[in-house]
Amino acid sequence: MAEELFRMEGISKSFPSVKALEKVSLNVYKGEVLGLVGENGAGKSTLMKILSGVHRADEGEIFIEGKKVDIDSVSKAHELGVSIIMQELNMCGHLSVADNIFIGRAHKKGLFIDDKKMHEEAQKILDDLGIELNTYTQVSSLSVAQQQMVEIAKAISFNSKILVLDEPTATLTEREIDQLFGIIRRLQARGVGMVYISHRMAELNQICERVTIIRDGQYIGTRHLNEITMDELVNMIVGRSLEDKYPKYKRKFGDIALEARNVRRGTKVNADHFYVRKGEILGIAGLVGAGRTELMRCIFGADVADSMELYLEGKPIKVNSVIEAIKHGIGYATEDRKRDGLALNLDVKYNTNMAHLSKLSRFGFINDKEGAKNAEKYVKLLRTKTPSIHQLCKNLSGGNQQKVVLAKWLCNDVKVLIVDEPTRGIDVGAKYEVYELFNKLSEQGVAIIMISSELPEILGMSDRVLVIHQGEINGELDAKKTTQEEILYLAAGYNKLEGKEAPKLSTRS
Amino acid sequence: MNSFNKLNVATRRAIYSLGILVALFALFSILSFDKFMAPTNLQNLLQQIVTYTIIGCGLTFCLVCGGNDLSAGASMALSGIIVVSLLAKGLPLWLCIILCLTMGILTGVMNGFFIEILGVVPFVATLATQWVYRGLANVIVNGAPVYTTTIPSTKVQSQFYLLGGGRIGGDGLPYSVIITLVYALILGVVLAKSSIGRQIYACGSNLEAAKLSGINAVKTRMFAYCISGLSAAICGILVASRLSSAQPTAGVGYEMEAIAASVLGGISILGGEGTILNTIIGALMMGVIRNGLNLNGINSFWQQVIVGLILLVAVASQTANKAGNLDTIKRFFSKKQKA
Repeated sequence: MAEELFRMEGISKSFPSVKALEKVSLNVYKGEVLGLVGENGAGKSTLMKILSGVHRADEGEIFIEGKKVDIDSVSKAHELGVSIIMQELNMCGHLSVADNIFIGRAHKKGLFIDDKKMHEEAQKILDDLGIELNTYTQVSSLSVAQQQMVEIAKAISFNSKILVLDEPTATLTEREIDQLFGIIRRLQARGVGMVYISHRMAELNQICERVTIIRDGQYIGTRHLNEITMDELVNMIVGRSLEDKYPKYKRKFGDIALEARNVRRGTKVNADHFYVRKGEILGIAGLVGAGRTELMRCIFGADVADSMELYLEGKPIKVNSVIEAIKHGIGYATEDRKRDGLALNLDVKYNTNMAHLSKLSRFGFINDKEGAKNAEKYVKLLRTKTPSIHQLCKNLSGGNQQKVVLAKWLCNDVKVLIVDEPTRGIDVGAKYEVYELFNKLSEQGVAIIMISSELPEILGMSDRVLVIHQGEINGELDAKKTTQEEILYLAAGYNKLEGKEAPKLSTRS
Repeated sequence: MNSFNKLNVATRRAIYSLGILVALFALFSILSFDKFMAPTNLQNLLQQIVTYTIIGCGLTFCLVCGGNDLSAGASMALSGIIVVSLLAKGLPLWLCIILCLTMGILTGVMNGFFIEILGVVPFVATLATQWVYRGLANVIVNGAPVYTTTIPSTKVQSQFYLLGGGRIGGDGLPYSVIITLVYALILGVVLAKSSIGRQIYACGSNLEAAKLSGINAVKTRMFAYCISGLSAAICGILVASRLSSAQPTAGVGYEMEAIAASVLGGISILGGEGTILNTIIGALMMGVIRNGLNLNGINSFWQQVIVGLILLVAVASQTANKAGNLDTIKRFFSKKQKA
């Protein structure tokens, strides 16, 4: 383990609006898996993108096996034996497994591609790694875990000495994770050095010996995991204790704002009954793919449920489309801001008023002055950092984009606001502001339903927690009394295996 | 059925389209067997689809790599004009053809330059170059057609005519059909079997992934536009030869017919899917529909309506099995009832 494989020294990188990294260093030994930890937006991915040639550092040096190298492109990184498995997989779904592994450098026989040889070679790599896959399968038909394994096989086919895994287990099941770890161990034995980015402490304990911690683009330190307690590690990551991350606030609950019964859609959604009160934040926890978003899309009318009974303030309502949902005062801030939350190429003003156009219009024409006034009002109210309301949304940082999304719903006088992963990809400071905003809304009597995969956020912000498992509500918990362990236990459905009932709160607690 | 579903989308569509093609064939055979199945008619049918098969094969490269080429028809007219004008100057036939093909490739380079280097959207860039090429064709001949009778040597005149108008043994299969077949075969192999072909699929399927895998996307897509330009030039030569003249107004809308044929055959307009076989099947479908309607005395205006409708139905039925579509349709009608 003594031999150093590579070292990054004093890496700095700025993007137009933010300083992403400042003088960060790390090193990896041969056959080592180094954990790289830090909050969302701390700069982990940026650092690794610099290593793999996607971005270039403004300052700093990289040494591989003692030699200084200049990694200026992805293909240069490949040449030097550096590969990265990104969080969001980048594959050509239309092509076969073998094509994806050897993309851009297929085996040739004379002028033509030697398909037979290519598939043989691909099969050899897969066999070596203990991956059971047919090389002729079209990649789009594979599960995420399988696609990831194809990515790893591709990295290996470059004879990579250095492999970066950016949150590889985020969307994997327990069994798939075990399989992945098996592959990682096999690579370790071959002397491949790996950087493993993850939020899951248990996994880091299992697979890494050392971790490097970065926070807000700064290097905080490198520690042996057996020399440091979890609390100390969390403190290094967060920089303050967890309590200070969430604004303290005492909420006042009103009557039930929204109640839903028998929401069912295919095999994905199967919820019997839940409700949210005015001024309450209802946290929705569950594993990725449990059907949380799908459930909320039904409530919002984005998908048509097979059956659904909704009551708004005690009165039955019908929601068959988004338009109806908005009319009833239900808002939905989507999970993927960039894909379905914002029109990125349009300005703040337009996006703020997007769900509000009919109220700003007379005889079908938009009153631009009113629109501008409205946008200004919300920029001020939410303290959105933007040079003007005419700034394009794609130029805003993640946190400010999220504020624009929220503004869009606030100006519609929402009664029930559904927020899906509201702080994903937002830096710590902006998170706090988003939380404060939720508190302000709750004071005004808005009921908030918050889907989140970050358990601290669920515990810190919500009043009650619903745990979703395989589309069903598998537990209703008091956020002040429950623990991360209990939520995870229910989210994984272990209570079902042990034959225990899902916990429920009495309706009048 | 299960193994059918495992095939990739383009192959499934190809089989599906082939089914429709056979059905159309059967339909027209029943309606007018003697006329439709006559060897001369079938030969004519093939000759009629030469233009959009060739242009379509080139366009397939652009479509598969996620681009488009609306300038193909104009670039075809320009090639025709250039080849005949050069011949009229007394240059040897082989030189004229090489110059003309080179010019075709250059039109592709120009398209590729604006799209790949300057970042203009393919639709807009080729919409613009369409006028540039058509305009140049008009400028060269001052808007009037040039006839092959202006070629000084009558020997060259008749040699040139053979390319597009000649038939095996004088009244057999047209040479142009054979040229088309050979050309399509070459392009088919290049797309399916060469590494540049595989890179074209990669670019069309996921451009980001292709770039991150070290593929030179600019070069790859540039190549696709060049193939499209080359195809247009070949088509221009064949048409000028068959008509014994080159018209600056030739080939108007051919690119649209070619796109229609490709889509009908199962090429995805979004890139990443489809083979030359899809395009050929699509072109045959267009040909059979046109020819069959003609023989049955449907006037050409109604033919346009029918071809458009067939295109819509064929493409809609290819996509309708996606759950999302059915959902939308269901919702659309349920709302209508309430209102």
